Amino acid sequence: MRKLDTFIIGGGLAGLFSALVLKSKHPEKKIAIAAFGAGSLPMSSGTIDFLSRDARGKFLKSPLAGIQKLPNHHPYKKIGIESIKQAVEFFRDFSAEWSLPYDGSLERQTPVVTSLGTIKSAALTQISMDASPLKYAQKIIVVGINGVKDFFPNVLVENLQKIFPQKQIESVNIDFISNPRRDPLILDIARILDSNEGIQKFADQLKSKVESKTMFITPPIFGTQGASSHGAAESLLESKICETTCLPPSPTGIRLQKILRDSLHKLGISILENMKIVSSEIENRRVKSVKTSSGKIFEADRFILAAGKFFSGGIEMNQFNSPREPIFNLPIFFEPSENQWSHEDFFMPQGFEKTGILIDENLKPIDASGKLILENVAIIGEILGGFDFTASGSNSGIAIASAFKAGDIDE
Amino acid sequence: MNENFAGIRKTIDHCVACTACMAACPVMRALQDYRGPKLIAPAHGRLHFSQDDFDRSLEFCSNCKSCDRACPNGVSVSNLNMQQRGKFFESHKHSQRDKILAHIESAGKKIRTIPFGHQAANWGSSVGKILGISEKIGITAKRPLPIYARKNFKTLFKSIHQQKSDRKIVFYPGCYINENDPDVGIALIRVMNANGIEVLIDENFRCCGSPLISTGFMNESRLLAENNSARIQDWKSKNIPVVAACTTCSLVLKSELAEIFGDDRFANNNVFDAFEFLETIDLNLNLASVPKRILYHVPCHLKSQGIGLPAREILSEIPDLKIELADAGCCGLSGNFGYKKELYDVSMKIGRELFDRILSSDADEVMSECGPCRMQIQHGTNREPMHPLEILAGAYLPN
Repeated sequence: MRKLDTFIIGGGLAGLFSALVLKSKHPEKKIAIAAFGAGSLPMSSGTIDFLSRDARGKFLKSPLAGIQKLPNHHPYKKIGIESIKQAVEFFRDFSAEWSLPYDGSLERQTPVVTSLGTIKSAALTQISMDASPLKYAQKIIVVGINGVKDFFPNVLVENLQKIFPQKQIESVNIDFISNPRRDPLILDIARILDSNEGIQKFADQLKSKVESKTMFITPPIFGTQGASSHGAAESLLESKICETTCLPPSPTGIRLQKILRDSLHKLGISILENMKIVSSEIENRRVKSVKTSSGKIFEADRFILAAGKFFSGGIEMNQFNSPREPIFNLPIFFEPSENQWSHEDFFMPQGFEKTGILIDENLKPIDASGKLILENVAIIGEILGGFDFTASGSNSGIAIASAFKAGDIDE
Repeated sequence: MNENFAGIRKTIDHCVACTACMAACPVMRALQDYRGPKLIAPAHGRLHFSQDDFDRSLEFCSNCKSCDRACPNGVSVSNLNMQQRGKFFESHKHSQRDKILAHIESAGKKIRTIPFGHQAANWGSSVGKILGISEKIGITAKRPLPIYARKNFKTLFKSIHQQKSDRKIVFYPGCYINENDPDVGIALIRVMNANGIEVLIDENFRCCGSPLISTGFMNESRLLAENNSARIQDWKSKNIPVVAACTTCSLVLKSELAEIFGDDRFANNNVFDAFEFLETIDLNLNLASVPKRILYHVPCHLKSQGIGLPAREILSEIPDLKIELADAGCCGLSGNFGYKKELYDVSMKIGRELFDRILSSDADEVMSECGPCRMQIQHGTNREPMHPLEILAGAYLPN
């Protein structure tokens, strides 16, 4: 293979988005992406949370205000507010262009109904998931699907009633697959609703339920591609419909994955599948090449590391206090004091989650003293260290913002 | 339990039930009866620790390996399925149909011992279809069976004169190129010769075993693995690489047998896909212009090898040639899967996206390395795809 301009390691949200930004801004660049596994998008709601809670776990009304108050060594501060804002704009434009428009902004949180009927929030959500219209509804109907065991309408009704005590909330079950031969997934139903017949079948069963100011809540069944299925169903019912998050596999995350892959395909960027990068050749703080598990070598001027953390093997930790980054053997931040490694409250920041790689303002890896380790590598996404992105509700935002910057600042 | 369950059985516990495999499985998408890779391979596979208990929907796995490629944790999902299928057939009888579909190599050998045997066989399979015999034993009559070539590759090979060279490879044609599509083998010889490489063949190689593995004939497949791995090692000791042009053969010989049988002797790093090999040499770039647009369907079993898209890399050296990826998933044939009467419709449903992509494309040619993929594309679109080696050989021809 001829030498590449940029080789991206990781086919998840961060890796795919960085390729998209890089190729859009620098069309002449020759890029390849190595992916091992499908990434976490098929399991994700596809919402982009930028920052939902501060260090004490307090809910933030404005992600941007929260980001501004973060300490200077936080990856968001390294990326910079301006790049974060541009990343949001780029993402919104991209998603709208590919017919999966996202609602929201950095200055407020958009509410989302969870699969249990509680409310979470994110800066950006697919328009079908935006739960803000719920407050105007008089009657809320939670739609279950016969045979689907991953969605519990009664639980949703009970929990939503606590949030909206004044509203009339009820559930109804509709049919899609008669005599299922296995438990149908929400994804199976979403694939049925990729077709016009499926959307019609959905609307026909609910038409009689529509009264004035009725709103429907459904699992994420409106197709696996784009937002058109949801729009068509809303038109047929002349009512608002809001999709919840769901147990995986998650059609909303799959929709986002699909437009990312389709847009890269259109730009001529290949995702090299089943390719595990295992080592690298480094000379004078520059990576010359990386090697796959099958022994193939890829040379490039620049590398973007978007390999994720523990789940995807971006960081390995066979013993609790000795994490290892297998490809470049980068120094890793690890919570030093043992009694901080975990927190008894599951939803509070967990020390072990802070494990990751520290970066400078150009996303290049540094060690604990701030010394630059590699000149031509950018670190993006979940593998970044020092903070618990899950507890603070910033996983996808970190991925989008760091991926944007890595694509934008190409050298 | 059977010692065969060692090795990749350990990967069962790497499964965190994330469902990435379910989202990626083309059979689950097309068929309600299949309970899916997660539930069958790791989840149900665990039960074998305690009892012999089988989920019959195991028969719906096509072994396309989309699950493996989606898995973030390296679980050998499809091979766990194949192991379980083999285990099932330790205590259950094979149908006549499965025996026929699994033993295409010996069928081909028999045909070649009879004068005009290939004609008789081609005639027999069409008569069998007309008389309804194939349907009766469970082979679909809705698609043509592979046509036997007038002379097989190994026979043609003897009449080809090659320049002697110190640089040699052994070509492993596999059953399909040998019996049905020898032109691909001829193209490989032209390409290698144009690069100063002499092509050898080894009469002692046998079928890679893929049709046997996917129909649960594990003991026979192991015998082939013993034979073929010994041959590969023998060539390795002479520093001569073994090159295959069928991506299923190369995948099986490289890593599948080692995984399924938990036996490192079957892991062969001396086997290369043809274009993977061409990437390792100093390629002869004296290539004629081929002003064509090519739509490239990447076979599943090439994706599984994790070597990228070497055919595209090499062919992009041909002046004026444009390659576009079809990017439309699995073709749906998956070896003998789509020949099974009850799975024909599923096979065609899986291939629909690819067919539509090809039918709506104005590309001059369609290409794919995999023989079954090419047959399925021809059946689903009436277009006759080429092997990328045929395109490259064409660019070397004029001088």
